[in-house]
Amino acid sequence: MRKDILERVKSRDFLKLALIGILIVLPVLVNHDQYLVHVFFRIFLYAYLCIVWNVIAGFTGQFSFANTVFFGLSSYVSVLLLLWLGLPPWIGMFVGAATVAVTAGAVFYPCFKLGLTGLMFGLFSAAFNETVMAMMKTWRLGQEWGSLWIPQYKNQLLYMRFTSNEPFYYIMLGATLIVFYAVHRLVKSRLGYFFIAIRENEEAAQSIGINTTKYKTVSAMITAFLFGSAGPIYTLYLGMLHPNFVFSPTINLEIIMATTAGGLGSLFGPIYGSVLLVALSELSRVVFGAKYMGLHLIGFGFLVLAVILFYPKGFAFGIARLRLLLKGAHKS
Amino acid sequence: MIVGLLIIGLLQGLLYALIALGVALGYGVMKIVNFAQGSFLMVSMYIVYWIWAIFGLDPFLSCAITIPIFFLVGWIMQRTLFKRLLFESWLAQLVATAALGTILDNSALILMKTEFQTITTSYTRVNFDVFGTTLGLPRVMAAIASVITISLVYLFLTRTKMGLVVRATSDDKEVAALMGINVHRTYEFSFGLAMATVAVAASSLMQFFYVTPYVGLIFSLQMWYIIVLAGLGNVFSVIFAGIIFGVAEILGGTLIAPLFKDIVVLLVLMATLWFRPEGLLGRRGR
Repeated sequence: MRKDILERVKSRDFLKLALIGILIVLPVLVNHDQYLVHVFFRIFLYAYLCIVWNVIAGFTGQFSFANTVFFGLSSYVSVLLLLWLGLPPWIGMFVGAATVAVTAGAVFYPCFKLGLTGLMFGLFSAAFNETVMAMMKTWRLGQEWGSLWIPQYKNQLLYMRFTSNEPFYYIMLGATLIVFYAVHRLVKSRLGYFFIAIRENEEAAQSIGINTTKYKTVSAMITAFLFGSAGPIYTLYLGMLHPNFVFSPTINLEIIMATTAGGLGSLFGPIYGSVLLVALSELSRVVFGAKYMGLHLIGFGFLVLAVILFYPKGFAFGIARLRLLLKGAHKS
Repeated sequence: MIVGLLIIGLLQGLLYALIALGVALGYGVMKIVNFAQGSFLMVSMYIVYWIWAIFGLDPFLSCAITIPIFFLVGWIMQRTLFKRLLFESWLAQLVATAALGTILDNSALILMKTEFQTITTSYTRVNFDVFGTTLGLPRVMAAIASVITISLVYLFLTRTKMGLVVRATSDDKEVAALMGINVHRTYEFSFGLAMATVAVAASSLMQFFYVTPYVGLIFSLQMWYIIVLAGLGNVFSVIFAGIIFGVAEILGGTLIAPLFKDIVVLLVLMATLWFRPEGLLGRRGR
């Protein structure tokens, strides 16, 4: 019996390693097709963002809609440091991430202290997201309304200005794997248990001595830091900085919908959600072209609606239930 | 000048209150977090636009067609989709309704393309001079329509038997059910009513605003900001919150810079929530 479990664990780990191996050699397998590499870059980016949002929303239970604000502000910090002081983005992205983490702490601490929870907190964070975006749009930076092209540097590696998509593919893949592992460890740690306790019952958590205000702020700051680390990568990938791209309300909504549909508070849920979202959007783009612009969003909308109606807890829990059912059927 | 701006802000705010009223009713009665209302508003605006473009009917007269249609749509929606969302968490409700809104918005995008459509009636260009600022007649009419609709809904809820039933269900649905009230029928009716207010809002808005497939996105979040400012579950305080929004927007937009109108509004909202987490007019404590 015990041996059986051990074997299964091993085979599962083997599957994961094989998947990572395939992802590493994938650009070679697809013959360096820049479009396919781009699709996978987007999958990793969304997976990263959804995993990160899962920390505050899925594990701590605070549904924050201030997501792209950290993504965008950190991009601004990092890119301006690069343009004005020549600081390489490898350092700049962490400076940006640290800045937004402090910002998150400063903005959200008063909210948590005053007991802003649930829907009220969600809408407060949505308002915060929108305010910063509106403010950045008033800043006449670069050519027109804040759009700023990032020049090409000679030292591609140092300034993260690669001319092909593959390096970004590997950076994003690495970042996603690191963040997945980090969140996996976080959930099993003391801090993670505090977060989950707050999610399950805030008053009970407080009564056993967890400083809920402090740990909610910590959770928001971790989330902001991780969002902030990804922002500069995305901006440098695009090659331009524009408030509509980095603060995109669409990306914000997509993060929320993909994570909720995938499975809030589950480790793999955000990944399922983002793979489905990007695959659907790119598929419809390939099949229907630019003629029907919003078609992929209609498809994704129906998918999300169906998941919420049939598996309100998300796709990941649906899969878990299915697996349980199959196993039960197999035994009997 | 300031007095004129305040008047414009007040008129704008009354319309915002009408737009938010539908969602406030939905939350107040059924505790449903509805983010699809902006998209329903967009659909209704398109219907009003096409009725005007084909038959030349005045936007306010087309209310006679859109109100029954939207009441029925609301009834059916509550009966089929929203009924299943009643017991989900608010995030699931939000995501499901946002998904519904996305479906509507993008279907409209495919059907209607991205052009801006506006309605021009005989009185569109009639302007008044109020304390040094110009005020268009369509805005005044939209504000009057809002006041009439909100008053009618208020009178309905406070003076009629069906209104009493709706209020009782909103207070405590289990007890209401024990008293012999058909809760689901009441919900269907309330959602129909909420959608009917959306139809009026669309007609009023079409007097001076444009319609595009994504126009709902402008209002989807804004309605919720107004409701949160008013205090959750407080149906009629949306009037005051709407007026605050309208005035803040006009003052910020004209006294600072046009781009700052949203920033001022959102800063007002954030400051309010920081100091009064239950909303400006909400009740303290739970």
